[in-house]
Amino acid sequence: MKSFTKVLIANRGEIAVRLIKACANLNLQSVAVFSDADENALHVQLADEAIHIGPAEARSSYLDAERIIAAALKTGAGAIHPGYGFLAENADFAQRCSDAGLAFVGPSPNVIASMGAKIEAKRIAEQAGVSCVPGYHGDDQSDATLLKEAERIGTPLLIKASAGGGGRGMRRINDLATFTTDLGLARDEAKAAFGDPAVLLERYVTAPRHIEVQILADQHGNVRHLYERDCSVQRNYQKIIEEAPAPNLKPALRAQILDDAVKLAAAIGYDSAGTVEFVVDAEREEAYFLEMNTRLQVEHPVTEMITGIALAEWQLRIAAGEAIEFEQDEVTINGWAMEARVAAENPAEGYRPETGHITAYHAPETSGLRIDSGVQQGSEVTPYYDSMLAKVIAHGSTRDATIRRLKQGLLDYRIAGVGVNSRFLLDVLDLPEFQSGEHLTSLLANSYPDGWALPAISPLDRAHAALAHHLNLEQAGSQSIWSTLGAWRIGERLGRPGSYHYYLRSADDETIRITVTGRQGHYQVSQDGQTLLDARSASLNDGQLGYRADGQKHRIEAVTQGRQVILQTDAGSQTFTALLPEQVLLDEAGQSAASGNAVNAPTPGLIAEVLVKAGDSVTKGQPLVVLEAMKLFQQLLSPADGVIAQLHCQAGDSVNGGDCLVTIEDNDSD
Amino acid sequence: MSLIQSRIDPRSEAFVANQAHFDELINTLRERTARAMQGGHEKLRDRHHERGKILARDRIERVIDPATPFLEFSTLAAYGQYGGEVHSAGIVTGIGIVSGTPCVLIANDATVKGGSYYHETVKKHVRAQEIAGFNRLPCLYLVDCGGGYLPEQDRVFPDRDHFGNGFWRQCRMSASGLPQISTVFGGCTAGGAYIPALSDQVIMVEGNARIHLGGPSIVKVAINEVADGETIGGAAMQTRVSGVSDHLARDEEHAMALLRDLVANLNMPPRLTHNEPYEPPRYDPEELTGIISHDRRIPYDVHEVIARLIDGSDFQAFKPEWGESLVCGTARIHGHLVGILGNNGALFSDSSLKGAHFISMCEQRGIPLLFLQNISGFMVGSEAERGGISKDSAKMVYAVATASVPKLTVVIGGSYGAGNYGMCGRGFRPDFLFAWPTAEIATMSPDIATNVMLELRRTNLKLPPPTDEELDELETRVRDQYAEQTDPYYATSRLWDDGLIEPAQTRDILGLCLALVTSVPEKTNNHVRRSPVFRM
Repeated sequence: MKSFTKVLIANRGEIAVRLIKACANLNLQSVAVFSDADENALHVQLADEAIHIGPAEARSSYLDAERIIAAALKTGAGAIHPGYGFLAENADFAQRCSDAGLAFVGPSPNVIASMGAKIEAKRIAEQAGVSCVPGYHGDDQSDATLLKEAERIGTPLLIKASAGGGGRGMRRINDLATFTTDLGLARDEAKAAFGDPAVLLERYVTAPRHIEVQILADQHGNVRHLYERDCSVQRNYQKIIEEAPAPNLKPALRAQILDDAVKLAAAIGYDSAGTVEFVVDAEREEAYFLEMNTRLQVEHPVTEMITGIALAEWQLRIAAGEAIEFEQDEVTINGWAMEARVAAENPAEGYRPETGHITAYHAPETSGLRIDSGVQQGSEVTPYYDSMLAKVIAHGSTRDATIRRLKQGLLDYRIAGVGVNSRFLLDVLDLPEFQSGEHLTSLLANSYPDGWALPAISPLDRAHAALAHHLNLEQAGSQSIWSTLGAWRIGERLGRPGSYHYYLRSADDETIRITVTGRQGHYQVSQDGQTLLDARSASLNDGQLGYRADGQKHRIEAVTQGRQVILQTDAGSQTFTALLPEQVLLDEAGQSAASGNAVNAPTPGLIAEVLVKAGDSVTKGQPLVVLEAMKLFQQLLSPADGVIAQLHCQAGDSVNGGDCLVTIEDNDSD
Repeated sequence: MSLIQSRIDPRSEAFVANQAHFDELINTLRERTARAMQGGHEKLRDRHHERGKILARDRIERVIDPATPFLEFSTLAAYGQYGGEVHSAGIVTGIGIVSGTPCVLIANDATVKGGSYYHETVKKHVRAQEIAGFNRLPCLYLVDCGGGYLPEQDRVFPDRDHFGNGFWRQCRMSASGLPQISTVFGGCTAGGAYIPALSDQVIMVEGNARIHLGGPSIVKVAINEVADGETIGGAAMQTRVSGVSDHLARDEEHAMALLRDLVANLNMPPRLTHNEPYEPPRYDPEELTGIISHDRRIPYDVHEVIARLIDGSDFQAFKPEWGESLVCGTARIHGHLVGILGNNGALFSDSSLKGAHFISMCEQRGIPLLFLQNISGFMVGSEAERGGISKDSAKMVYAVATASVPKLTVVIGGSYGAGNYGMCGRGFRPDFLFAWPTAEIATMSPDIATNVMLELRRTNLKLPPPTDEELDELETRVRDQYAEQTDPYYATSRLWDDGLIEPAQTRDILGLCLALVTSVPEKTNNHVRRSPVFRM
């Protein structure tokens, strides 16, 4: 048992910040490590000490065991907390910590190793009486054996890399005819990704949910479960939204997985925080052991919020040799908790990572909402590390209330300067299957078969732009009552409020007339008589358009500059220009006002040249005829795009003023 | 700072009862106004739209600047007359900001009797021009009318203030540097043709707009020429051939865009650009309806009204302890300094002298005046006469009549007899005059009028002594006449005011008016004051 007073946190981002706070709560000193890219990062600023560990590339910094252990020794830390990712499940690193006389905040190296190897982990689990997915985890990797086992398990089935994780080296087989080919590919992938071609076979669960059990165990033989989490909302096997408890989980099945998790932890002598993952077949209502994660999980806060037990702190206390001081029956569920991972990525383009400088940052501080963030205003988001910036976690009395709170939290949590996936997360939270808690891990693939698309500029975006401009006019006009009263009308109290029709031009050059009706905070915004927005308590302050609609508060980034509004929309940052009628309708109006699609001789004269013939396609402004009058040559231009319908003149003709010379038909008239 | 301390309890029985009564009055006002603002019958409005035309008030919404007010006048003109069908007298008038310049807009409503000019239409048109003249505002005519209403030609055409007066004013205003611009949306025949013809600039909408001194039927009768309206006076011809019109618009939206563009280059001196910061009243203007007694015999303190109209309820009272039946003092409304006179009872010699003193002082200082009329008249009786009420009331009337500062009047209650003169009634040409639904304008109250008439009959020696029946009949007749004619809708229908307004709107309307009247370039600081402020 090693007691310590200073902990080196071998991680970065939100988890490093979380662990620094945990240390502070336990009166432990914290040491942050940082790469060149993280010199000014939030975790570096918050820790009691910070030490540089190398260049931006993780391989030579956060993944460099030697440098990290050296940093711990140099700063006099007694323990290393690895967080998640990086070195968190590296048995060799845990061993080297131990060898260097440092407490590793996590289970023993051999437990990490045994749970890290999938085949071995399943074998142990089966021995402990934990139900596993029907499959084959044997050492005999011959094609014949694997095919025989595959026939036994039946299709659909999966071929997985034994040393794998995160979905790499995994292939689904629907038809055994292709088994041998797929096996070869899976082995190649496994070898490339993990240096080991060994594979395992598993039944493919057709209606899978991802449900995991949080375990907390100490060095004194105490093992507790902290109930389960549902992490079925995944994209490419990456969790997006997690919640606790799991919705629509039968009590018997829940009891089974909780029991299985405790059995497994006890069987391997687990002595830290860990997670036992299950795949639950929603059709068969069966649960199978998937794997055990021997670390603190990204989604641990949802468990902390429903149980009131601070996992990160207990992990440190257990590493220091403390015994768990609560009994299993003292662990109860209070309400519902849900987490959404805010990442600097573009879900509309294959989750492409986004980078940049955070120019504005606002984290709401409301009860029932927790934000675990690794960034702040001024932070740099670099391409070197995981794209997750923060987690927004909501706690409520019911699942519905929690979803609502999480949505509001995502709306209120604002990061500018780097693109984030909040809009996508809000869309996912609105999916009907998610709302009813009946979603499977296939939720996103089924809901967005062609990938999630960033919405186009919506009518509501235009409504927001017009309203922001309107409010700006009310506020930024002269101080005269003829400006400050806004669209005051004698009839406004009897249902005839003032209104204005803006010609709103968006960056795609589309100009649409948007009508704003009302004043003093209450406005209706409409298009062609259709109400787009009924906004109350509307205001424009500090680049934010705020209003209430349908009982909900809304805030939208909206910066106004003269006639322009730069608006944050679902389709990204968009610039709109609110034009007056004369700025739109008088464009080139002069000569074409009434002449329509005809060209008339402006004066009497002689046709010097005809530049087109009937049937020619012409564009607006293209010269058609040259007229000579009073010794001057004048080009007569086409008033519209179209096709020459008729020529009423030829070179050498004398014409009178007003004579029709050319008529043009619309291109699209058929 | 001297704040008015309200003694009103909004939870008191009296307040609640007053408000309930006033709410009824307001409901009536809103119903009648809403109906008037709809314009003509639905079928006519539909036909209007089918022709690619926009309703008069919707045209105005497209002409004025975004997020700016429109101060409409006399919405209930012609109310209850001509079978109740000539809504708003078929014309919409008011003040709005166009391309940054405050303008008077005069818009015919073709859905109401084809936009033809009734007596009240003429009166409303001319009154809007008068307001434009006083306030140095350009006039924008949105023309869509068929000229004078011929069956009423004797009430429309011949007299000094009839149809011709509008043209006279158009010419005179143009001469004085006030731009006159017409946008023609429909047919303009005969008299109607002169509205655009006498304008500085004209826009016509192709297809719908026509200008001709004689339309097809007159042309046929007069010279036996058969031609359609478009040939005689169509927009394209008038723009391209005759040059009567300057701009040919594709449609109404285009026409109004052209109009806005023309106004942008009028080169009028900038106005309404500046205002001092100010506070709202300390007491809610919505409470005004609970203050006005629903029983006219129960007086209320006009200070309570003033407190809900002025900035910060901050009122510098003038001679507060002398002549108390006339409350005088200075305050600000939407930042504009104003001298306020309000009635707390009949005008006595002292209160009349106080009023005269206060008005002449405001005149010297260039402070606009606001009259809040609730006046039964000047005091009568031997004591009053011995005290010289006739010459003292005359002093107040002199002062009102000769004050050159802008004057605003709001009739909040009675407006009887010579009290109407002293408190700047319509005859004394206030720049703007509005009335609440509680207004009553007449020579005297129905009670007094009835008694006077009965007494005259009793003492008439040319006739035999009246029977009781005859006296009863006379009483009923006089009461009915006064009841009908003191009704505020009777007054507003006849343009005795610039509109019936709700108490809670009053502050904003006064603010809009004050901003205009105090920014008239010619009126500021150049009038010659010939007398000192006489202490009386």
